[in-house]
Amino acid sequence: MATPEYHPEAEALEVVLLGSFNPAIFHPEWFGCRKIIAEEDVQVAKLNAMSREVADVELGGIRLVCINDRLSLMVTNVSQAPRLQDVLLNILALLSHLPITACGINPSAHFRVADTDYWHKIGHRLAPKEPVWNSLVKQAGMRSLLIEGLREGSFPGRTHLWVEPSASFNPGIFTRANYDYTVAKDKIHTEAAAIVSEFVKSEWTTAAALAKLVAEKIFSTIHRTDA
Amino acid sequence: MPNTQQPLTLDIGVKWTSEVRDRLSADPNTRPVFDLPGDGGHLLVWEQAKALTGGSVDPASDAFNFSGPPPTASATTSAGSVPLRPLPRMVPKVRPLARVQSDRYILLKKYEGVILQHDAETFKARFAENANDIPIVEAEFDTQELSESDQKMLVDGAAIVWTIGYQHEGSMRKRESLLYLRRLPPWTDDEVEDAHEQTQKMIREIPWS
Repeated sequence: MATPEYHPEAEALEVVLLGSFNPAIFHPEWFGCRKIIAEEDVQVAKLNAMSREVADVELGGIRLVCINDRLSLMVTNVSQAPRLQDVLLNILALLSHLPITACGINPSAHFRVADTDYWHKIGHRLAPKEPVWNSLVKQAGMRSLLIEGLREGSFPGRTHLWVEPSASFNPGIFTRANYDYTVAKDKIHTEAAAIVSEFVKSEWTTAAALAKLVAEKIFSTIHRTDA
Repeated sequence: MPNTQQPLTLDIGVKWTSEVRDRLSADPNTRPVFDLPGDGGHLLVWEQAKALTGGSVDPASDAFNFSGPPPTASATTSAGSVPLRPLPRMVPKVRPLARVQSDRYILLKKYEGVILQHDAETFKARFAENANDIPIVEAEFDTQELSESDQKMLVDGAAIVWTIGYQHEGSMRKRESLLYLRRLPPWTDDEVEDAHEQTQKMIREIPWS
């Protein structure tokens, strides 16, 4: 029997770079003159904050927040995810000297669950309340489950996977992932941007699908009707 | 992740609220003034208060009201300190980095592809949901389906995205089909060389007979 296809009720994708940044450079006009963002989008970009210490910009469906040690790009309309990737790759190509220490690709998604019994069943199966939790507290329930795994390959690192009850859909589950890569110390000040660019190109599809993959695995292995 | 190594001072323009909260809660003489979910996803930004007098700014807003008189500028002369007009009252305001979604989007299909051919009115493109998809989809569109800036960038071989989904706005659900060209950075020399090598390898592996 084919596995039913579950569509998230809401999704987001965030890419976070850690390192040392100059927030003031990330002005909509900079993206416009470099042809990274269409001129129409530059005209309607929203500047929430722009200073030496912080940039908080909404442009072309992308939310960019930069603090001195952190640059984050996020979309909540995932039809714009390829556009986010383009913006990120252009930043890395144009600011090739950026000292980046780590990059994380962080997808998240909310899924409705058919009914409350099934919702509880998922929680109990992922975090059994016996033999530990029921003996410690009444009405033990899973609020958050975090799994960490190691990754090998060209970009080794750690992958974190979360499952939580959805705060937006009841009953529902919220899944998210953190797929990160740490740049080797001796490369941070020389070729970090090029390395992170390769990481983003190579791992994007796998990383961006992780939140949905977690949910699909849950729904396909914990069935609503079985014992 | 917030940098917790830096010393905290409240006169800096921007800080992570989690750092501020930790510092305040560590001081037994300080009354906790706020409590946010511990996700570290908020910024504390100093902003000019809407009202220059009185202690309260806007009780409905998410700004915090630090008690105390508004700061006053002064100039020192030979006669002593002369008060000038009050400086704008600055208040710390919390800005969430992850905004609560007022609308949402459900992605049904996402295809990525390349433009095969185009003229002034139409273009034809080849799409795939995944890189290994067979058969691939070919579709023809009116050029008008693209934004004006994308129409100017339309060339054979350009990378294109086609998404279909539901856009939710309040109680409305709209089916949306979106086409846009990608704005990837130019190929690097290494990428060109790598592509050339891969092409040569594929050519060598074709069993000509």
